[in-house]
Amino acid sequence: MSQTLEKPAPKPFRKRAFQAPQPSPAPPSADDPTLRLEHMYRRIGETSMHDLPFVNAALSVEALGFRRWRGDWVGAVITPWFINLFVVPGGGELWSDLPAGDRCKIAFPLGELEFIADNDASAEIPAHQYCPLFAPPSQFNSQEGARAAAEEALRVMFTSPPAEPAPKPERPDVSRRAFLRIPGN
Amino acid sequence: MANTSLLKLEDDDNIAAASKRLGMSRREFLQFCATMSATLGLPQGAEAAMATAVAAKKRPSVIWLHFQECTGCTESLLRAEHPTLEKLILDVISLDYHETLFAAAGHQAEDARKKAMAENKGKYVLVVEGAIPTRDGGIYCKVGGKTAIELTKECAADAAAVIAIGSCASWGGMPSTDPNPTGASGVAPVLGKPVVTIPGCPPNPYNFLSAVVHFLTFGALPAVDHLGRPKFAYSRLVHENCERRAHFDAGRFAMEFGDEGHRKGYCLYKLGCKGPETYANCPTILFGDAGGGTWPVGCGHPCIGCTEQGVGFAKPIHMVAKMKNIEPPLGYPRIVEEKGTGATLGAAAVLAAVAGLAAGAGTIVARNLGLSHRAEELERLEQTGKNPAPATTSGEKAGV
Repeated sequence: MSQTLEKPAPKPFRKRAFQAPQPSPAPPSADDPTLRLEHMYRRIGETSMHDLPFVNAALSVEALGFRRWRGDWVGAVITPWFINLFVVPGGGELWSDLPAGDRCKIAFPLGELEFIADNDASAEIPAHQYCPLFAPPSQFNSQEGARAAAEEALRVMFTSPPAEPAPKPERPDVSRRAFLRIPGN
Repeated sequence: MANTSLLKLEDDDNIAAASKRLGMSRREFLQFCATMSATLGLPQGAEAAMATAVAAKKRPSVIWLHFQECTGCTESLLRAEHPTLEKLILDVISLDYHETLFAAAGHQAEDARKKAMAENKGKYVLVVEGAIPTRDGGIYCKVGGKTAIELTKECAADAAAVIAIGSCASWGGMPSTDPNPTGASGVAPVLGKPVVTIPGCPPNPYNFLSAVVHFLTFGALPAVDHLGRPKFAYSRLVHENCERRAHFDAGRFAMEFGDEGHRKGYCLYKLGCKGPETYANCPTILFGDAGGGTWPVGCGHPCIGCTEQGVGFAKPIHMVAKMKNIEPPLGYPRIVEEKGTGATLGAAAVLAAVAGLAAGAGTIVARNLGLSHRAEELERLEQTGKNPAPATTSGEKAGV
């Protein structure tokens, strides 16, 4: 039994009353999710997104560029209401199980990008994470244009950035030895 | 050189005294300053400067005027969630004139205002709560025989800064709702110059406090957008940081109150949520700081766009929002960014690659990837066709 005399830790200043439930671990996808993603978003486009004012009729649902990267599936999806980068679990290192709506940063050769987690156990792709590029994609008047943008984004995120001078550390890099040294010695 | 280490402040007598005054532990007080500094998007080290400034207790004199309003802004400040916030506000500022909180009345109160204005000439902060009626010479709101217009002009003349708190003072708010019988107006048009606005109905007391502490620490109000709103709080759409955003993109909507989707916490867009066209940090720091850890969308009510002129009190609550990404405003810093990270290098490169592929796409991509500064530059480029000017804080232009 632990003593309860210790002062409780300070409460966080903001604690949400509603927390989306922690999802059960996402089943890894063994095959390329392209067709299932297209099927899923086509159905959404025909049902709940049908005729909404921000939907771009010049675009249609298309998943493209999916490849395994560090074990997980990475690609892009074009729909009439967004063009997003996608991560679908493939049993790899990128994936983390997060409640729907949580944000996370994923490192690519180019650098870190911020992704939004989603999961819906009843959907064809029960869990994915996406990085919104165009939402809504109102600038595009053809599928070709949208495809070119998505492909270019994918190409760039897998390219290492040109070497830059190393950023200066914000605080002096204190070595363990210096940290443990008795002041004045 | 300002102190930039919170650790060094652990033994500071001023900090100890401030913590004691506020009934917090030193650790809690310093943590509070760190949270505030992060909310303002300030770099590492600023929290120590902030803690020092708050503890030094050089309290600016504040004159607080009430006009056409419900006093909800003041209520939200005083009934703030964390027990220390209202204490901190009253500790940080010297509230020398406030009609709701005054024990004095009549001539006594008016004398106190004049005295505070004379003693702190050029140094006090004027806070205006409520809209100013302008029709028929402003006769629809008088305090001590003076119209709201006269009082505002008189008090603003020698103020170091003017803050319009709440939507009413910011742009007219509820009293300006069509047909606006009294000609209710925000503060800026009456003064004929921009002021810092903290819109919201009520506005988040945390945003007000952060703006005041910024003034206290750096001697100037924080950087603002073209509507005078502090960028740290009003530069991102509610939709962008919404906890229900994933439901939106996946097409999972609540169709009516109490239906299955509503109970499952789906997106409220089809119930009229104005999140896609409303700039506010409610999803991040929770609307109104009212307690219970929630905010309208968090507890299942669509955002009504209370901070946004032309949306709040103008569009019916059930009316479907406009997807405002199409018309990005001037600046988009992250509302809360972990210190030191900023927008990712990756995001910048993706932007550089795809921006040219569709006309006007640059700002959209920049904003979606959280590249505030780039978005601002691109926006300026698109508007002027010139090279972007060196970055300046637009806060310099606001206030008086």
